[in-house]
Amino acid sequence: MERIRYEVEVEDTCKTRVDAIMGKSIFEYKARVTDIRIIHSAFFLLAGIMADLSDHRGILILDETKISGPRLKNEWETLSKLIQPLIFSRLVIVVIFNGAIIKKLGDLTSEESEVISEIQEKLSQKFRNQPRKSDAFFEILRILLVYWFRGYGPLQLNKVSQLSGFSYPTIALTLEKMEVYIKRHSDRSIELKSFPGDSWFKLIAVSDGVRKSRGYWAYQPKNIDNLIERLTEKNDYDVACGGIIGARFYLPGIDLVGIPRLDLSVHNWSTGKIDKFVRTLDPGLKRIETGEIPQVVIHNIFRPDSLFNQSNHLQIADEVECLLDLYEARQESQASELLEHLKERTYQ
Amino acid sequence: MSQINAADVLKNVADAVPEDCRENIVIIGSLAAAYAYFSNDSNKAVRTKDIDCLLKPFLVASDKGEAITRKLLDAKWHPRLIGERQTPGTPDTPDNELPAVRLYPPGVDQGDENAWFIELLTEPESPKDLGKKWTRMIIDEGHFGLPSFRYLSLTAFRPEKIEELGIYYARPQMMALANMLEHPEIKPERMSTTYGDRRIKRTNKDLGRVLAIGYLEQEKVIKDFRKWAYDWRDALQSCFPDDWKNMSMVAGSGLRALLESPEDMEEAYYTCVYGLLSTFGVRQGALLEVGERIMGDAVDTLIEISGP
Repeated sequence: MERIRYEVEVEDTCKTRVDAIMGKSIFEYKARVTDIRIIHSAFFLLAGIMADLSDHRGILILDETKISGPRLKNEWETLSKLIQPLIFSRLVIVVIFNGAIIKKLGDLTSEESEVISEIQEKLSQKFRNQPRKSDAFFEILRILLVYWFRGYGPLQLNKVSQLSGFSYPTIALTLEKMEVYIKRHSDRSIELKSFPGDSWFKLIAVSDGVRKSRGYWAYQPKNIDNLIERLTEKNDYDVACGGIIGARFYLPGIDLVGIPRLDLSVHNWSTGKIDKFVRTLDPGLKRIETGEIPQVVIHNIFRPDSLFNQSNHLQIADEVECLLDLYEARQESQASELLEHLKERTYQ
Repeated sequence: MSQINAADVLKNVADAVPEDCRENIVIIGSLAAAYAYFSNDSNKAVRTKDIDCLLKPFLVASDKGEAITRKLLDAKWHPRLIGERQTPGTPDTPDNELPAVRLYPPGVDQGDENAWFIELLTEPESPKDLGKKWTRMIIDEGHFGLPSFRYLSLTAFRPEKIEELGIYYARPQMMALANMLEHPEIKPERMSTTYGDRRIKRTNKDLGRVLAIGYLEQEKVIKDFRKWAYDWRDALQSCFPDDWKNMSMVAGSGLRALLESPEDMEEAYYTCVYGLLSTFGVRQGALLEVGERIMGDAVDTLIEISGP
């Protein structure tokens, strides 16, 4: 199979750059597209290349698009009337959701089918690394809380930017919203001066939407200890235990009996990598549907620094992550117990 | 088909055969699996009609088969008169047209819904034997054949001994592997006998057995199928020293095809709840899950440890 090259100029065209090329197959990648004009633009870019290179093929990958299947089909039919058949017959649209192809318009060759996942995985990485501005408030709040709980002291603004991945203007705007809880130092560093109760409750209220979590279940679930055993065998430093295991790390005497579900946090993984990882924990696990109760939940952390802690043989998710896991699992009293413990320790 | 208690039936069989042949008998099939997983549970039974007795080693199988058949016939066990080839063969009958030994216990009416019979088989003579082979056996009544299939040697690999009876039963994971290798794809042939009122594809019945064994294994014994991979590798290396690596690579292909075909999976599920899992309340999704665990843990590990 030919090598895949990423972000390259297509030869014999007017320096047109594309996302990936494998042999004579050219790939353009668009993630979470909500505007049909973005699809038009990418499609016409590929059509233009096809007009110049009569033996090439163009594949537009739409990753987790919000545009419905029927709408896409309509667009496809419209485009077929606008573009010459000799060109159109070499164009394909592939829709990917959760790492799997869910729709194809046009036909892929067997080689293209084989590499689509690899290309999606690679190109989605770049997309994932870009933090979303809408998440800035809660992401920065979480970082400040973790630093406060750990007693790390003031944080330089550039350090906040490094940890969160947000620019200085975004951080400044966010800090204004929680000004009442912020202590500013003369060296442009900041820290929380008290626990930001209002913001915390807002975070809990919206955490299901803000966090990127995937739940899994099985008819005959494996013992959680068995899953942890597998996790330690893997020795993967991108994975950390949260939930009850994390809570026990931060507060060994916490009032918890048994482990009804396993919460794990991973650092900037693609959905495909998460599903593959879950399969190594237990190939019997399946994604939950609405209303089903998960036995394993994977939370994806996108900020540049995971803020994981190291336990004996496991990594532990940060304090805020563990608290949110407990709230999400409806273990409110245990979450409150852990929160009070962390606050008391900080105030001491 | 009869709903039977595995321990009781095996005791009947062991008591009926010559003492010096017990060492050569390995019980295989659903009865062996039932014995392995719920012989101590009187509330559990298995629905089956045939008790498969594999005679090993191959070198003595014919002699032992003759001795067993003689003793059973003398004790008024009687041949099964259903299906093809009901009468004994002659010296002129080709090996592959010989009738198998299938005998009902004395006094049992073979028309009875609950009747069961024993069938004698043997392991292949050589690892190179492909497909079904027949080994001739001669008794006063005429000529019979011991059928063998390529992968039956796996079921005779390190079987478990039932100390109080002196006979053996196949380890379930070995029966699972034999069935998986026998069916690298979903073959269209349907069985001549019915399950309830349905004629099922043989592949679906055999691969369904793999799922049923897997279900019982994780209920009763282990939660991690990776151990199977190491048992499988040892068996394959021993039984097929020249081909074991290739076999390791393709062992899961039929099971994968089954898991991805809802129609075939439904048939496999039906055979499970009608047979080995008839006294378990199991859902189809749970069997699918077991299949994924066998593929992900046992088959993938087998491929990994079998090397390039």
